[in-house]
Amino acid sequence: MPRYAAIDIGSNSIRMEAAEVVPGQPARILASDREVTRLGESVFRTGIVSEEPLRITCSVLARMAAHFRRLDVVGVRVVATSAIRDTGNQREFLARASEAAGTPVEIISGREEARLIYLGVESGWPQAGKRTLIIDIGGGSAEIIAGENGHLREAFSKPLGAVRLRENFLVEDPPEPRRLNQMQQYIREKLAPIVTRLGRTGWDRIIATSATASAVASAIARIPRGQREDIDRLRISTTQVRKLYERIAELNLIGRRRITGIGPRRAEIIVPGVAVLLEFLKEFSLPAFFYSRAGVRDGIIADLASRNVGAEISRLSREQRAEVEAMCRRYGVPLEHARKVAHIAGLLFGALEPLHSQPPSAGRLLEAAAYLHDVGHFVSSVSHHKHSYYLVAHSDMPGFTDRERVLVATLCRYHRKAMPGTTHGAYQSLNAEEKRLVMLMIPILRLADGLNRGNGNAVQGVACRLLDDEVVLHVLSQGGIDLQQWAAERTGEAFRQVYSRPVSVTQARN
Amino acid sequence: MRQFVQSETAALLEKFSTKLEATADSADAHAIHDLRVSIRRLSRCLRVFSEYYPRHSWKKVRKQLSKLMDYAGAARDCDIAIELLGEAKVSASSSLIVTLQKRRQEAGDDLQKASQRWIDADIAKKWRKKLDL
Repeated sequence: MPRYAAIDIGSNSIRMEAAEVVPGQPARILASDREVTRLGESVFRTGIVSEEPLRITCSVLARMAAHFRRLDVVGVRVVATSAIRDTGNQREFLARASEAAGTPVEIISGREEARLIYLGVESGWPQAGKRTLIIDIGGGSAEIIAGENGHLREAFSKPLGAVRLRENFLVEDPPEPRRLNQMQQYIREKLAPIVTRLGRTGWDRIIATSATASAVASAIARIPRGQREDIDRLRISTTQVRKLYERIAELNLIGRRRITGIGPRRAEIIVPGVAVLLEFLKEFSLPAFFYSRAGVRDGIIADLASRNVGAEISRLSREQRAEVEAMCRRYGVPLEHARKVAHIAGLLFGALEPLHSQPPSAGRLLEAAAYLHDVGHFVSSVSHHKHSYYLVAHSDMPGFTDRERVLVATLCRYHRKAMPGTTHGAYQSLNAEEKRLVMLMIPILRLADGLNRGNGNAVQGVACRLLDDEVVLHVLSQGGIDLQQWAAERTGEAFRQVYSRPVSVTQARN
Repeated sequence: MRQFVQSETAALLEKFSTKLEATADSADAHAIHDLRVSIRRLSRCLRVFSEYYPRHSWKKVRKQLSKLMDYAGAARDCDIAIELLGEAKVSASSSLIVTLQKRRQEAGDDLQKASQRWIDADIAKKWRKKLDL
């Protein structure tokens, strides 16, 4: 399954997450990392990222990049949010940060940040059929997002980040009541238009994300920072938030650090963070919220997965595709059929990856074989798979190495009839690794060819469900799929031999 | 009816025997084509009139014919492939054509050797006896 990595360069901290995405299941987190860098402090004070935080940021990015690179991720996105949106030395920051991360760093707008947060929440905790209101309190900005039935309706980004508010309002420690009042007034002013726009009623679920919300939930539930997994989806009432705020507003930094669940660095900015959360709950007249651990990074991973980023590395390059299509034309293979089989083979290759565990390069060979498996018809329809073999094996195919061409030819050879045997010279000439690759790809090629039997436009898509003892293919089709089911059954024995489980074909409901 | 079958089969067997000798002399495309036609005709005759031959005898002959057909088919496939690839503008000096020509040569040699073995073994006489012609 594809692996993705995301880095969120926030005003308070940098977060990295790498995860493996299995369609229809929550992402499996492979690595996560967080480092407080307080990039926003210098930006909100002086208007630019100063040298020291920039240096620290680059070093953290390099460390995180080295971490996710070891995990063979196929897609990466590194984003910077509020502080970098406001900084005067954006160009310098982007150049140095991109170099450190080894991938371009992009500055995202408040609305894009909100969209990613919403995607992150929905990917881990779907809110189907509900009207949801989400707040994410970062270091530089707070995002308020309204969603309905799993779709983002409206999003707002306001300069209400915890680091920004502390820099602007809370100089003394403990904070002066007068300054606290000014800050609360400022927060209410920023929230007022959103309340007017979205309305106070009709919300089914309120969700708070971000480290501020995590600290609030941990402090109220008296759960130490090391056990934060326990607070995911915890319900916290507005009354509890108000009591916590009243308590921490009177404490100095040392006192706040003693509170269970609030870390030493978070204690520095917890007061403005809780103030934003409390004013949000009060302004919308909300009785409680649920904490969600999801954030921008989860949204990035869900976004990369939904766009199938990285899938292209298991597909033929433009030059390779042009070459195999030219061969198809030369040998009279109907291109529409070949493209369809190649498309289905690509879908099956991705969906069956947990079973075959082959690298993306195997997907390219499979796709080439899916294009070329029928070229043997050019010579004779009798044993055309054998003709396909020598035609491909001995053709000039720019874009493919000699070994790749032989493997593609061998796949063509076995797209029908007998499976590889001890007397088959072509197969026996392969090394052990190549034999394994060919053996694992043969049933997929046969299935893809079988699913495109008859009308070339019948099958519009294929989804795959991997059960413990069976593989079920859901075929999206305009008409009946009797022919495809029959063809797939014929190839089922090869699949069972190789993957030790049967395969069945059902029609997917539109 | 039995007499007709015997004379028809004998004629086809005679024709096959002639084509076999021609192939043993030269496995060119023309000779292979004629041999394949004679094999196909004799084989169909045996299948259609199977009830007039001694029990199972016709099956064994057909099986042996099928083996010879495979030799001839391998050479014939190469001839067709080379001709079609020429029409498809694949260069005569390309690796594909060179490989096919080599395969054609090998397949022709194999066919000639097999034909000669059958002639030496006087296969036509044996079959006549087996089929009670």
